Amino acid sequence: MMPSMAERKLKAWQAAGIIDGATAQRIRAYEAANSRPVALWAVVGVAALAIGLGVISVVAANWDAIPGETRLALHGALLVGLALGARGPALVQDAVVFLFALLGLAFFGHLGQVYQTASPTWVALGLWLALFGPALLALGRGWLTAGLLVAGSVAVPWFRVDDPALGEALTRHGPGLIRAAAECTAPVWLLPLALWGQSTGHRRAFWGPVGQLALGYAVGAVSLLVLGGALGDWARSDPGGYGRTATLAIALILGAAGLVAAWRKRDAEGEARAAVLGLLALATLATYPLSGGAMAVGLLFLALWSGIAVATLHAGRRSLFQLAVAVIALRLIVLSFEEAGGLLASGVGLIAGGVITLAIAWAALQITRRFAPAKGGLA
Amino acid sequence: MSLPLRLIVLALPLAGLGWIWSTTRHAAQAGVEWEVPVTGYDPRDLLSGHYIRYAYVWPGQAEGEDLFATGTLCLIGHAPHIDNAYALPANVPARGCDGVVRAGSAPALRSGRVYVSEQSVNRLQAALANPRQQVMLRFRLHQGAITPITLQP
Repeated sequence: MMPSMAERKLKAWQAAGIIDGATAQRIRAYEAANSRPVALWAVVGVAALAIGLGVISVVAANWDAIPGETRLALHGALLVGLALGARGPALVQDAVVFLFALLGLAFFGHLGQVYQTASPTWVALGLWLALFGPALLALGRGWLTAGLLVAGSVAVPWFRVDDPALGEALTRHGPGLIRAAAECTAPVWLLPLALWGQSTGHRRAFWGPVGQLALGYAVGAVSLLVLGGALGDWARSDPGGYGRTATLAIALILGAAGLVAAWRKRDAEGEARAAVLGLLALATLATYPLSGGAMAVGLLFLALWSGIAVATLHAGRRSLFQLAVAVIALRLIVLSFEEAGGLLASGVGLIAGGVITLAIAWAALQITRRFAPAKGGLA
Repeated sequence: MSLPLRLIVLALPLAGLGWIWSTTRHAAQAGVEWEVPVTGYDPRDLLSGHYIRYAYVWPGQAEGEDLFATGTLCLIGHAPHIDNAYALPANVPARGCDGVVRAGSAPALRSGRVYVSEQSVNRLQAALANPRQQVMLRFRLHQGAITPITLQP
């Protein structure tokens, strides 16, 4: 049946002389042949949703009544079903592989529930990554699987950091600190892997995000490290020199990843990527001796992000350039408030702080307007 | 993506989970059952998700004695009843112990957690909050590792 609104439009277009009677008739015939029973589909959809929600709530309400091993068997059957269904268009395959890996992770928690086992979280995460990482790497087709892979690779070392059985890296300055630093930097190596993946020409929708997320993790982690440098003099609380070796290890791993990135790709974006990794390595090296000096570490942070801004310009990445300028502006604002700490107690100091904030925001806006690469530049 | 590689990357996690399930199941059924009194770990917040966190009250522990320094505990008694528990120094053979807990770290000897069903959670919470009521944890001891089974008010 022809919807009345379309019919009204057809009559109006015909009256205005946009289409003739024969065309209007052909459109009516086409719509009649190809129209979908929307109302019927809506009813079917609502019914399917109700059944699905009903099944979930029946299972949830009787969760404890279902024997543990029956639940585990159902969980396993669901995993087998998803493994069999991991094919089809890119979006579908990506979603199915993502669900497969996520339910695989849930299986560890489920085992713990049924058998009351307790093991450190990183052990379960590490086993999961070893088992499901290859599936994500080989079958991932988009952002979902890329995000899960990078998140898993980052979570394993971070959950290992403060395991008491491994030497309590962050609370005690010991060799555990060097191990933890090296392990937490390791996910950066997903970037060279992603570059290799992209060079094969297959599954760019997967490898692209993997590389971006790995680099984003490195930028975020090193930025936090530099910010942490303002909290205290690291050398003073590091008589064994473990902190110094740990920062050296981070810088070496980042630098090596940068060299591989420079070697793998020779266009503007590849150069920018390698340069950012190099900058991160240098900033890590500089943080240790500068730590404790709020102004020096603040300037180091600004230098790092100015370098990142230049690199994003070089690569023609508009939104990343805008992000870098915003980060610099925010840090400048915080720095001005930190340095004018005593002034803030007075009304004049507050006015000055507000004016400086406005000036920085205005300058940042002008810079992004003037220098930001055009939309749809190099992607 | 070639078919053999696809099969391998999909079969690997399934086979791995199957193996982990089987070893977990086997380990959960092995060992000797013991009982130890417990108190609520944090009286303000007994529940942590679907788990109840508890602190062990090892029998025979003297006031101020640090049982946990070595991470190893010697149990004396007839399973499931513990008469006495004392810290076993590192590298000392467990002679005369009826059971040995090798927790690996001190925190694991102080507290633990157990999954509780929704039907029993209110009863257990009330029991743990009541100082006059003793709650017993039944656990399985296998190769030095504690696997909690149930909490009994």
